[in-house]
Amino acid sequence: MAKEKPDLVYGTLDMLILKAIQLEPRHGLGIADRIQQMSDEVLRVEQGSLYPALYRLEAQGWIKAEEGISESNRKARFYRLTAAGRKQLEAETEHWARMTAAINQVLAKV
Amino acid sequence: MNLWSKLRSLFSRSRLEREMAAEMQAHLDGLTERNIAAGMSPEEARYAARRAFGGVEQIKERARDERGWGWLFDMGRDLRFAFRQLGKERGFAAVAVTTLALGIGASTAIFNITYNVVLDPFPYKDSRGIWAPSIRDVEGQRSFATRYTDYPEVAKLPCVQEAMASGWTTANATGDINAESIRVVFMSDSAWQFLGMPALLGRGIGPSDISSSGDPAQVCVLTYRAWQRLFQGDPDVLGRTLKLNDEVYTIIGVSASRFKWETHDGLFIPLGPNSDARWIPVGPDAGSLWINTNIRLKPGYTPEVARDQLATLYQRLARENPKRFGSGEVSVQLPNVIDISIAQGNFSASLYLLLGAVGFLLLIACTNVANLQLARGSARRRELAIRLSLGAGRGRIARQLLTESVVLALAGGVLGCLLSWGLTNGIMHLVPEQFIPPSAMVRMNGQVLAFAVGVSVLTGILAGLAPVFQCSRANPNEALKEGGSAAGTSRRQRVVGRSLVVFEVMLSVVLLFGATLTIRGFVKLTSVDPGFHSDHTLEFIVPLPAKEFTTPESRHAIAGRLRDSVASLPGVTDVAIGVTPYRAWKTDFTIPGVPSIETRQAAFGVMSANYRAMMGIPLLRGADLEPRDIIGARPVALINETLARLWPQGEDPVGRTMHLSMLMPPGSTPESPSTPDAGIVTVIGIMGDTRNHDLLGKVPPSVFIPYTLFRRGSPGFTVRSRVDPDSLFNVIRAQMREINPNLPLSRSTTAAALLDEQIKQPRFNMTLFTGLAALGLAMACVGIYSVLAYQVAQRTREFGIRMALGAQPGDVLRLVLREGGMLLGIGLLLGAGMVFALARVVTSKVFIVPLLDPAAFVVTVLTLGLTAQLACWLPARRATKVDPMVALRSE
Repeated sequence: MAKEKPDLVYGTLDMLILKAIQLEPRHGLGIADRIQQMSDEVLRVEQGSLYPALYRLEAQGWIKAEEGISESNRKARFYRLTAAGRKQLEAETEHWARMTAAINQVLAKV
Repeated sequence: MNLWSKLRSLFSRSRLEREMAAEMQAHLDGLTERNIAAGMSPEEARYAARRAFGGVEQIKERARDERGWGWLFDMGRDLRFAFRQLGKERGFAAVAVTTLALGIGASTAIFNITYNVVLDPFPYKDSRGIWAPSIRDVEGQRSFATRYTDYPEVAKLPCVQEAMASGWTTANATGDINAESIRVVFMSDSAWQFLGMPALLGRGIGPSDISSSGDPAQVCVLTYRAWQRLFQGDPDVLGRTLKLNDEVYTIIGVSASRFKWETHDGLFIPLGPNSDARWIPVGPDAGSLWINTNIRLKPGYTPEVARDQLATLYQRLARENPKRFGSGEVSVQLPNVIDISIAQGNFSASLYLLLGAVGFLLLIACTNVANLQLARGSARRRELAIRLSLGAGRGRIARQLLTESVVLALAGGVLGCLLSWGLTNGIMHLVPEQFIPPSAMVRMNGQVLAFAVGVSVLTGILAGLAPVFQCSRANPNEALKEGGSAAGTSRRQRVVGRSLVVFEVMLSVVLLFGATLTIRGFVKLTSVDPGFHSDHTLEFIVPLPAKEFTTPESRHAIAGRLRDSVASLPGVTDVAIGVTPYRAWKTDFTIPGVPSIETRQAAFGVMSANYRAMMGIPLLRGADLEPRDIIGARPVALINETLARLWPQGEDPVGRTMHLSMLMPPGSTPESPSTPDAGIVTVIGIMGDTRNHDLLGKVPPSVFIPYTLFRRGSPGFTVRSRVDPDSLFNVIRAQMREINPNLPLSRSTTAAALLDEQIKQPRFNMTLFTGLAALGLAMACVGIYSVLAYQVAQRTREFGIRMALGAQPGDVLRLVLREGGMLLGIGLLLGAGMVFALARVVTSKVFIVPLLDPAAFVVTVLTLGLTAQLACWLPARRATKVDPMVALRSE
């Protein structure tokens, strides 16, 4: 089995998924597309990580799956952000900002 | 955590599975459509989408793990699978379960006994919280008597939450019952509350049983056994009476059957400030009752703090009353009541060692099962490889293998528990009774069951580790390519299998060595000559009622009468007054002119003129006791060889005098004797040493005087008979009743039984250690056999080729035997090393012979070597039977 490419910074996938459905519910493929698109094609989500992550987030109650019809007229599971998920997203965004700012500061020092 | 969604997922598993499959399919379809739109053919588009998506089943598996209680489903599935798998391989399962059941059963039985006899023998409320102060001299050697008057002082200490006081004596019980000498336990008014066990019938002793002036009421509580024995368990016993030393006592209760504080078959009476005056008659034995105080500590106080407070208290008491504590310096020990139960000491040491031994046995069982699983695992390599390539995670497979192993072990555990029930009962028959606290009750309880389950699960995991380790490193690609049987086993697997065998051999060396030591010790003990005739010898003591026999003369007279009447009984060869020194008193002694001698205590016995000759104790020098010495109560003594050696070199003790404190009238000390010659005796003869304390240690000095010279105590008798001495005792009893119906009778014992007491525990150790070692040896042999047999089977083709190329059967035989011999040799070496290492740690008196006994080494090596060679020889012989043509074609 080939090793997963380190396209994503470890531990950020959950946050990115929450972010991708912040505005509207999406299905799995839609979430992967959205992340890729928002990152200007830099970040690519491996499906092998996507679905386990989706089930994990659902089990934690941050997202909720519901039946819907996809753009190609198929039945699909759409994931929607819950109130708890929204709070989690805020917390993670804030934490991320703090971390990157700190890291940048370290890197900027000569 | 969202409990609801987890619970829901637990019950709607198949729906969720469908949804997951549909969702991933939709994803794939989306990717495919996108590829078609980009201009690929539908076929191409589907493949590209699959490639981009990755392994669907792997992703599903990982997704399942993320979803809440996935592991719970997995476990259920693993369990079902494990049962199916084991059902298919009944032979393997049967061997593995039996092995584990033996290991688990043996360890549960030993734990059961250890727990209920040593760790938690008492039924009282929070017995771990009861502390028993003991007042000692500064060296902590001699313990001083404590009194009732100490109890209120101790109870007042700041560290004491609650306290109780108790003590005991023996009394003659008469009334509407068969007269007997019974143990009477004094209990303070707080005792029942303190011990927290309500009476079975009626009530326990309470504050209302002590009058305001300090007089204890004349009431008693029977132990369960006394109730059964004296009143045949009469349910209307409350309100009936009995006499204790001629005083009438009313029965107010019967204690619970496990309530055995200081007595297992006597009775309880109230203890108050005036108990001393009532129970200690004026006269030779006057004094105070020995009353022990037990305490519970207030929360926040450690036993160390409590000990300091007690020490301060007793140092003050010693200053106020210097006579009471000898030199006046005291120290206090504060053991937990459980730590001073009769099971502590040598017996608990044996049990702890046995626990260690069953631990070893359990490890051997684990190793055997691990080996079996390894052999089986290589047959299952293809199955596992296929599952790996179909998307099973390695963790998942490891978990499933472990589940299988734990299922095996739990099955072994269930069987083991049944086995341990039988084993426990069997072992309890062997346990020397004197080491079991009367209130202990050995039975399966929650703790023991928890132990059995814990041990089973642990065993399962341990036995499953090797196969899991092996599978986690397997490469599915190679396993599939290898194709199966003929390629043989990997080098690594053989190494693991061999190491396990070496490990087993090592453990059984230690077990066998321990067993050999216990056997050697037992043989050594039983071959000790006690120095006196122990066969056909019965002895008993007649406790004379103090009220009837007030003068020494009347005591000596009745003793003489009893002796004559017993001598006339048929079957009796001879009767003497005197008992084996095992039951003798101790006396302080001094030898005039010899200032410093190490031991200042000697065993002290009284005898009639015929005792020495009757018991076959040789007279080495000087003269024997004569009837006139007895009649005249002359101050003469026979001493043993050890005591004679305390005189300076070259001086003959015969004709010299010595001083015995036992002969001093009360209230007089050697420094200020009441009469000039008080306590002085003249040595007239020297006897051979007899075993008078134990069978192995140094013989303590002992001194014997005419029984008429001793003015206290009750006479003991020794009877030599032609018939079985135990059956004779009932006749003797009847004879005594005829002479005086008020005479209570002590229990009788035979000299053989006294000596047997000494070897009971070594016999127990020997039986158990030997049993465990035999089991361990058998298991280790099965292990060696199975590994070699398996390897021979795997190497059939190799042997075929060797023989086709001209190897003789003898060569092949040697090849296999060499392999077995090597494993055995390494195991023996490591085992010997382990024995040396353990000998440094184990400093136990359980083994009577020195720990590194060379003979035990030789026996161990020979036993193990020969048995194990046999286990090697069987598979080796099979290897020589290989037909080259068949072997080569077997592919």
